[in-house]
Amino acid sequence: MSTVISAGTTTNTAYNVNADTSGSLVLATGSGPTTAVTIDSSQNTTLAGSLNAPNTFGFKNRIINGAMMIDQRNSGAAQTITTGTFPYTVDRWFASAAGANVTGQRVAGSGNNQNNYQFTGAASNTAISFTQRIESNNCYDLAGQTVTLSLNLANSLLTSVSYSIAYPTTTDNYAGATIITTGTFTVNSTLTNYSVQIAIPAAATTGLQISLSVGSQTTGTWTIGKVQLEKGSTATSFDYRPYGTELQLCQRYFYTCCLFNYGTNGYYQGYYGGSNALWNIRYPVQMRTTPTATISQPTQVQYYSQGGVWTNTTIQLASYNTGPNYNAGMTDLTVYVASDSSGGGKLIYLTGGATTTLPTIAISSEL
Amino acid sequence: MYKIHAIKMFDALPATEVAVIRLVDGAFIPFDPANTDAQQFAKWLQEGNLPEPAEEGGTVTQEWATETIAKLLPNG
Repeated sequence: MSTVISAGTTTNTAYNVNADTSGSLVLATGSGPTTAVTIDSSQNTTLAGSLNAPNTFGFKNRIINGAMMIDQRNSGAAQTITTGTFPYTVDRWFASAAGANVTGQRVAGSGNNQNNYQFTGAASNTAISFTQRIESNNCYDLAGQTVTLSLNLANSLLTSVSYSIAYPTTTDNYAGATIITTGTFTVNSTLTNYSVQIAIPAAATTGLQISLSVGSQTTGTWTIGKVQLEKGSTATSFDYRPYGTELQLCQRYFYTCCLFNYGTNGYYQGYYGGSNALWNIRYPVQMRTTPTATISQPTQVQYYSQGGVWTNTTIQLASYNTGPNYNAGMTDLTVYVASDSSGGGKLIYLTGGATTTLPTIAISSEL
Repeated sequence: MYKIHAIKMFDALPATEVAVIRLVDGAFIPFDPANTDAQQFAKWLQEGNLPEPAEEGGTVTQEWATETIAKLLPNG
């Protein structure tokens, strides 16, 4: 048996309590009344119907890579944050420094917290910021709502971490932006969870920017982890998503791939007619928009024409195929490899060229 | 500094401008108004700058810059 609190539909059953010593509790409603919620003596809760809450279920966290696990650019290596630049660090987060360069790095967490991001200060530094911009498609529904920002913070030198929330004037274009609110967390050297509620204006349908900053980090470290932005006025538990899912969320904005193998048994491409050798890159997920492509080691490429000789060449971008391709919803870009006048019907092999540093292409459609 | 990037995909077709190259890091930036780097390129044009032409000896006109700004920053 259980202690039952019921809300019925007749005068005699409108409110009723039947208590016992079982240690379990039942909430009942409707005619009958019928059991709606059961809480057993071990605090396990069972619902008879459906649950409606603004932020309880998957993808409640609008921040991507809030746990700082995905680091496609640096793979956990330290990175210099040069003053006057805004380099991306761990995926989806970019940083800036003033006064003096600082270093940033994905670091191991402790306990069940796998990773944090950490800045190490330097003499003469006057400020560091750490920012994520949320695509409008992922936060449009937050306009006019109260949201909660929660995060882990620690600083071995400073006691204040400032936050700023803004939205761009034009959808996903941060050439101009409006500050929604700013504030400060009082922190210490122990990693601690903090939260704040923010009223998002109805006009903020164009995206959101979450920015954290500190003042003069002249020494010591500033650590950030488990950043979450969710609908509602309560900071709930961190939204752990599968690693592969989080990686693909990141790859919508940044993706890097190695083009060629080193050695004579490299990748190859069948090629017929014309005089150009082209290479198509298929994105793992559809990019946010036509991406910027940066080729590393573009001269470290050779190609081989059947019956010909190894030839040094420089790879370049040839075109962007922005529309849906033969796989619906996917897009790709084409890399120009080489021009060869040896006639059509040839098969072209590609290698990494003269060094073991393989050419890669970094593809970015970050905000 | 930037340089226009044009390429001749097929022998029978004229060269097509497919991107602008950011010379500091060699990044290929598409002419897409939603691309953040393209937006920054357009703002650089608005400041009165012109990129290097795709072909040596070629020219880039102010009309080209004006058309490109209008395409990349349609809301100004």
